[in-house]
Amino acid sequence: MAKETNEILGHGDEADGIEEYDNPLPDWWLGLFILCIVYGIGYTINYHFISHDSQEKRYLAQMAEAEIRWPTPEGPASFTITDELVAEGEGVFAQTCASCHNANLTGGIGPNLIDDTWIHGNAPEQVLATVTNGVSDKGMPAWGPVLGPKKVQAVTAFVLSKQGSAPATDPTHATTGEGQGGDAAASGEGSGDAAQLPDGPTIYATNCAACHGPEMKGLVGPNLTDAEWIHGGDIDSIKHTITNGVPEKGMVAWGPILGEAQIDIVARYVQSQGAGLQD
Amino acid sequence: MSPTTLPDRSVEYDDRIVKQFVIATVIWAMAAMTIGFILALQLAWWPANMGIPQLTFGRLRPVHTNGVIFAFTGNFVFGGIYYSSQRLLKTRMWNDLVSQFHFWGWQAIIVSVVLTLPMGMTQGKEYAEMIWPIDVAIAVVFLSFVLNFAMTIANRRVKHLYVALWFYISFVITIPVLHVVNNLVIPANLWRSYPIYSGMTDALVQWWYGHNAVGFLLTTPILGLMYYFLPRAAERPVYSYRLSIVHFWALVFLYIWAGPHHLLYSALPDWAQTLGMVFSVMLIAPSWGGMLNGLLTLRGAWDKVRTDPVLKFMAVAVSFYGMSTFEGPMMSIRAVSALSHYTNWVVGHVHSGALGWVGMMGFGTLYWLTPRLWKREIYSLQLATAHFWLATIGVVLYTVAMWGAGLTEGLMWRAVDANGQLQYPIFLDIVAQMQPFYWVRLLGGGLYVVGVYMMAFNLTMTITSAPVSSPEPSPAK
Ligand code: HEC
Ligand code: HEC
Ligand code: HEM
Repeated sequence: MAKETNEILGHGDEADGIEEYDNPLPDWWLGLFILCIVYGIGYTINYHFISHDSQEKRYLAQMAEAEIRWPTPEGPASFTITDELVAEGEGVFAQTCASCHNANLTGGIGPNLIDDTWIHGNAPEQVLATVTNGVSDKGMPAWGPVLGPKKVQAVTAFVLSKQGSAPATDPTHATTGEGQGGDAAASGEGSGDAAQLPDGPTIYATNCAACHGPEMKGLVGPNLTDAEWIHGGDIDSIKHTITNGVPEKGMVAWGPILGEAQIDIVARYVQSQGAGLQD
Repeated sequence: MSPTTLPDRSVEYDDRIVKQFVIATVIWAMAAMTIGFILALQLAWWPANMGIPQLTFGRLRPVHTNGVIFAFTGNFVFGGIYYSSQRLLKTRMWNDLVSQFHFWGWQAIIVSVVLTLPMGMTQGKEYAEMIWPIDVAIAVVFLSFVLNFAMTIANRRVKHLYVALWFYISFVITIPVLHVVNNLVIPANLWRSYPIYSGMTDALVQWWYGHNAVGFLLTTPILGLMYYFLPRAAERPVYSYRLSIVHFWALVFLYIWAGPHHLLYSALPDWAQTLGMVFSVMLIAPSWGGMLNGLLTLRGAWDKVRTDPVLKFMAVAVSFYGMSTFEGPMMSIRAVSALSHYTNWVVGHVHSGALGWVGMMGFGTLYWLTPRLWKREIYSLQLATAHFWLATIGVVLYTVAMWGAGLTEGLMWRAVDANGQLQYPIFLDIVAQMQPFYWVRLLGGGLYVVGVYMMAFNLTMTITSAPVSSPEPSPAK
């Protein structure tokens, strides 16, 4: 249709010498423009006046579709504790909960789960509700959306199966309640019995890996295997940092949680992984 | 210079102000892009925070963004406008004192931004972080430029307004309106203020501003500069006057409505989201009009493109402009935005526009202007060509890495397993996947920054070399 003429318009002397051709709009360009306008008008009419669509409608439709594909399991009513469930839950606990509640459930950042003190109740449906919904303002995450109902039931079954297994070594446990001091007692007082204590890698994996990374290369907390130490790399400094923490930077004070003996073990383990420090 | 040029030797243009802006452009380009490099390093390797609060990512990021937008692009646009407008209007700038006020005021604003943001003084609005006293200064200084520019047009000695000038006018009118409306706040003290808008209204005003800052600072003035410098450098007539009229008016009319594409699937009413989406889709052709007029003007000059780094930069810039103005409308489509929003894809899009289009136009223009302003031979063409290749490879690495990163995280966020549960419930796991992409981005960005340093060296050597005997004359002298 439209032909290129390459005819100069002759504004050049008014445009610092820049000439302009009077070429027509390229056909395909004009076609593209019209197509986009037609699409815009058509889309709007369809979205708002024919389909009466809205983001709320799309949300509800997607939820309905998901409900068909993955129906919500029956509520707590069908929740029976079986051995398989407990076994499955044990794995989930080690992976997901141990960093806060300790591998033997005696507490850490989160409270002891095998003593007699319960903040939110120890009836199966209560524990299930706590694990599902969390206690967000106290730092217990809501695990329902993360793990899904099956794993939540499993891990709850595991927690419940451990009821009453509170270490007999710890008479103060029930009265001090929330567990933070519980294992300090377990490890501190019980340190005479060194064979009972977990080894360095275990203590590290349960308490420290969440922040310093499974390989100590650093995540929230710094890399512990390099030669750079903020607070000193000799054994006393490391023990001191671990015991007292760096609260303003987010490093927990482990003294009251792990006790001296475990801190000694984990500090030596940490140092042994460090670069060029074996003096 | 093309033989048809008829320089009017009875006017003496103010080229001193252009030189000042050129020097400022180069200095701020190095500073702002170096900070960008540090930010990229921090994302790939967090200890680069160095534990100094003022240098952590959250505080440094706005220094980088405002630095490249207002310091690098701002100074480049002002310098280019001062140079070309005087020649297109055959008129010296209306008032030299106002020009100087504009220049020094603008640099003072940039310095105050660089000092306040790292100290945590911010309004928390993206690309409008500056605290209110600085906002007032921006308004005053910019309006001094508006006055100077308007008076120069009023005093002009030509009848016809060349297309570049229309684009400048759209920039000069729109930016003060956007800036003032988005920064209407009630001051609490010297450092703090509260916006007069709240909630969704605030977000909508913010993105009306944000998108049109892209439209009228990173797009229209750059297009204007393209319409001046590209045909000058190529010594070819502009492909189509008609196309320039149609795409100009379509562009400025459509751009203003497209802001809500930043707020798809938010609390913004559905009708407003639709508006933002369809106006963005309709923007493809008007944007491509600019690209076409640029590329088709180069017809018959491709042999020059092969040898002249100025034209190389401009040809690639215009191509990236076409690329990012196709990508943008695609990202404005509801279904695409649902995947791309909040991901690194947006960062990739930004930088194909910023590094590819704005940056390359800037470099091309600087290499063209500097020898002419100072009447020197360019120090090294090879170095300029090397800069071109570094910049091009850098942008490609950057955008490809960010597309990869964006798609990866976008898909991982939404992935569900056979039971309908999130497949990657631990957010940190997804963040960890970004690291390799961040390293590639660092490499791409690094090449780009090295190129800028090479340019700074090249231009410095050019300026300080001996004047040539028969220079490309500035018609004024
Ligand atoms: C980030 C740390 C953290 C993780 C990980 C964590 N919890 Fe907790 N948990 C807490 C905190 C903190 C509390 C205490 C809440 C309160 O004080 O109300 C708590 C409380 C609880 C309680 C209630 C105890 C009571 O006394 O009523 C149960 C049960 C529990 N968590 C189970 C789990 C299970 C099962 C998991 C793993 C799926 C888990 N937690 C993972 C921090 C955590
Ligand atoms: C909640 C997160 C978190 C946990 C859990 C944690 N740390 Fe830390 N850790 C940090 C942070 C953050 C720092 C950095 C403190 C600083 O910057 O001063 C740190 C610092 C340290 C340091 C000092 C490093 C240096 O460069 O001087 C050592 C040693 C250390 N942690 C050991 C441990 C051990 C052992 C454990 C397990 C018992 C542990 N951390 C658990 C967050 C944590
Ligand atoms: C037709 C043209 C364009 C359209 C329709 C468009 C559209 C978009 C969209 C949809 C986003 C993503 C918003 C999100 O999901 O968060 C975006 C982001 C962005 N674009 Fe464009 N774009 C266009 C051209 C450009 C150009 C040429 C540049 C030049 C640099 C640019 C710079 C930016 C910037 C800086 C952002 C980041 C905004 C943020 O911080 O969230 N865009 N654009």
